[in-house]
Amino acid sequence: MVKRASPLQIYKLLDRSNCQSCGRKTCMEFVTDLLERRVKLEDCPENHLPAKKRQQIQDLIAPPQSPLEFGKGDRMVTIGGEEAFHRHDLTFFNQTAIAVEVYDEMPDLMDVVKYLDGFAVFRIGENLTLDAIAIRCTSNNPEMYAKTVKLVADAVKIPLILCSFNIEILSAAVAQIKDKKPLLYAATKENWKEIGKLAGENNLPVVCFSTNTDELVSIAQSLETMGVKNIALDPGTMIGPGYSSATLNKLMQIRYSAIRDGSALTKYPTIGVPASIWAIEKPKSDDDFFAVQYKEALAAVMMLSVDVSMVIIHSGRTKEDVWMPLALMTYRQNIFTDPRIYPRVDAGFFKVGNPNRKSPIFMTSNYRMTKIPVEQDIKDSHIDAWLLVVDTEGLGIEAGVAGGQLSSDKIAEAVKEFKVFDAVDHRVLVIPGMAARLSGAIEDDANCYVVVGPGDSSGLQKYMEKEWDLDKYMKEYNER
Amino acid sequence: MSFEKITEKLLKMLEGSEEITMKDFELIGEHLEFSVLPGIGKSVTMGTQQAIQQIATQQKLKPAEWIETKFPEIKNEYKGKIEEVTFYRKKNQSKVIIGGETVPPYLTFFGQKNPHRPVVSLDVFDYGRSFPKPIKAIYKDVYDDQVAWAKRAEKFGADMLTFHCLATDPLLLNRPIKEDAKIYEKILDAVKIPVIIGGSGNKTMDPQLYDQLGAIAANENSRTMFSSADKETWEKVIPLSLKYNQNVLLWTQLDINDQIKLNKDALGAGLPRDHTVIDPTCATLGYGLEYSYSIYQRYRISGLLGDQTLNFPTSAGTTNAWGAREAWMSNDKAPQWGDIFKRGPLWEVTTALAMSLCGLDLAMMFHPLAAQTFKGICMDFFAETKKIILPIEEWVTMKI
Repeated sequence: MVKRASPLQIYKLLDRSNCQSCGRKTCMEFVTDLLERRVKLEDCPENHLPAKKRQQIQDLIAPPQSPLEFGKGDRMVTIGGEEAFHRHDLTFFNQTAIAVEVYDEMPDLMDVVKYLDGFAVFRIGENLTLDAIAIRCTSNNPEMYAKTVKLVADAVKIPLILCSFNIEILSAAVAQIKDKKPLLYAATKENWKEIGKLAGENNLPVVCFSTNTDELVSIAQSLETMGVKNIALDPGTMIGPGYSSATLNKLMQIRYSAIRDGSALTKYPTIGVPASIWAIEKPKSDDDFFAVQYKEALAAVMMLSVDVSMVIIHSGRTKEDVWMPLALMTYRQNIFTDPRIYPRVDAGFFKVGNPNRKSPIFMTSNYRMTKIPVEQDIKDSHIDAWLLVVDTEGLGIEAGVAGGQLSSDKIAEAVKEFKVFDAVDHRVLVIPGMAARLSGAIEDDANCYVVVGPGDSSGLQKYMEKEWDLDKYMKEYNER
Repeated sequence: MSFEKITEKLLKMLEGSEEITMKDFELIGEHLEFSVLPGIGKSVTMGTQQAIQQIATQQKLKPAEWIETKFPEIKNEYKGKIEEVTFYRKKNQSKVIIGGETVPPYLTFFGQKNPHRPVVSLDVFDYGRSFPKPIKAIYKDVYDDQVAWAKRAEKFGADMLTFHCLATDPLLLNRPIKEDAKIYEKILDAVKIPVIIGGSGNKTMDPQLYDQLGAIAANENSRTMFSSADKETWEKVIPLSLKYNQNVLLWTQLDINDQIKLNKDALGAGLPRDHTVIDPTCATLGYGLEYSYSIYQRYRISGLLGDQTLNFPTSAGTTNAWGAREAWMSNDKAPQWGDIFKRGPLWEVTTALAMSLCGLDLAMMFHPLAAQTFKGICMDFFAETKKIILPIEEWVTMKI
């Protein structure tokens, strides 16, 4: 991996006045945040940092893969700009953008683009959205394309990608919406001069496309020499026996060269187009259609796995197809989680909502991806409850039970340590369904009445409405 | 002079020049015909204000010149090799080999190709439980007939099967191991592929289970695997694996130091390197998959770089994916997520593919569609590279 600038290297170039103009208490804090990309170099005022030193710092912090921005406003998207070869080397910074494509002659175009613009899935405290819409020109009519693109641009906030290999078509659309900073797709060996000029003169980013890697870097170099500043590379997406490997290998060659080896020839963000599978495979039945959707989805999964900067997909335009972007956005949420965040959270006894002395006590593990969703589900169900988080060495319930990290002893220990039953006027503990086999042992070890709750915390609301009966539980407990 | 004439004259004067500098320039007019790309497209008409603005923001571009460039050479830094582990039935009647990698998954540009694709083992549970709908649709009628279950899974194209003896856990059904041993024998009679012996996780019962079922496997000259030994059971499990000449899955839970220690302990107890498979735990898509992603990748990369404590083939239980609510929750309860028969299997195959791109040799899977899809992808990756270029650029103009 290309060597990362050390905080000290940068700190030395600052005036170390701790002026706090950047909103940080000290210059050292500024440096740390700068390396973590939580603050911009421009936030250090000019009178504190002369141009020459500023440039030196800029060069030091520039990632081996250059970033590319397109779109305007709140939803502007930044792709590329990565410096970690493997996720565990540091963290991935700019998550893979997911774009869905449409075409200018599409009958329900305006409804679809509005749906895509507003598409959102709320998951583990984060609103997951799409990043761009790619508009293809199938009419082959520059006027119609430009008009359509303008209509879309006026109706949505999401960034746009203009797709055509025809310069007349792209020029006409650029004239209409260049202030929205669309991404141009694509410059090829045939049209690079014209597309390059269009991109350069309008200061727009552009994708180079070639299935031949020598040709691909040649197009990029030719554009760069011309003065085009923002470039991305699409080495072509081919899927199937004998093709998938070629696709992955080309993407990985670019990645090794740019991020591991620091080559300037390949320093650009990469683009994958799983949608292109639909130009090759023409499904004839519903089953065929579904099989192609799966192939497309998994081509995108492959690309997300290797930190491709953006993918353009075909499926996902309708509510019916929501399962596909759902899986991709969930996977992306996983991969782009900072690996320096530990999977364990603190064990303890917590209030969720405003529990009282009759409120239920739910038990869970101290695995981040268990505790946080459980807490969220309790909140979403508007239940006031106590939450006992047991130290399972950061494992989920099922894994903890299987491996012995979640046992009746451990639970009894936690009950004692956090004085759980001092907070309530009962001795009832609700355990997760997946820990059901521990229930007898817990009753003995922790001297309490154990209720086996739902197998998944999404069922808590229903459980509380239909099953929870504190008086009955306590009666049984007292009769024992 | 007409406007057209002026334009014509101007263009003639400008022939051959790449750029024009204008000094003390004033432009007054309602409309300006401005040719952005002379000689290529038709000119674009726009308002004067806009045109002037464009001239102001235009960058100076250098003349277009083709720069022939060679893609940079990429050096191979991987000097290590992952161990090879073999599974077979009755002295090579059927055989599965995993491991042996010398480069990261599916890469060929270093001039080397990994020898074996990842293989799929389908689950057979020793008793039917409440499984998610898409699983139920496949196996419900054989929940109580493990032999029929195994035959069906073999037909789905599994490379191996895993017989999970959960019922032997005293806290579940407390079924005598003898009964599971009988079923295991019948399964072996009914299928041709290796059948991995899966424990219940109970630390006392599992070694006894491996003893009885391992004897059956050894008796017919088969080598399968004990799944699994962990930090509490390895001392009992390793001698049994030596006694019956079986492979062992060394299982830890998302902890690299635990895995290194367990590997060293097991090897120290005599487990041959080519009988060793490791399982660092496969978390589920959406619920911590990233931890597994990084751990599988770290193991594989360090193995390929020459670390002798981690260069073993890996296994992942992608069945865990069915624990994610996006995978199991029914259409009635979660209409916002789309059809469960699509999202469920996709959840599992995504988990498997993710792990395989980090470094996976054996996927223990549940849903046949997920298994077949994953196996298909692996075979696609391993197929001889085709030279014909597909007309993929046509996606830009396809009318769908």
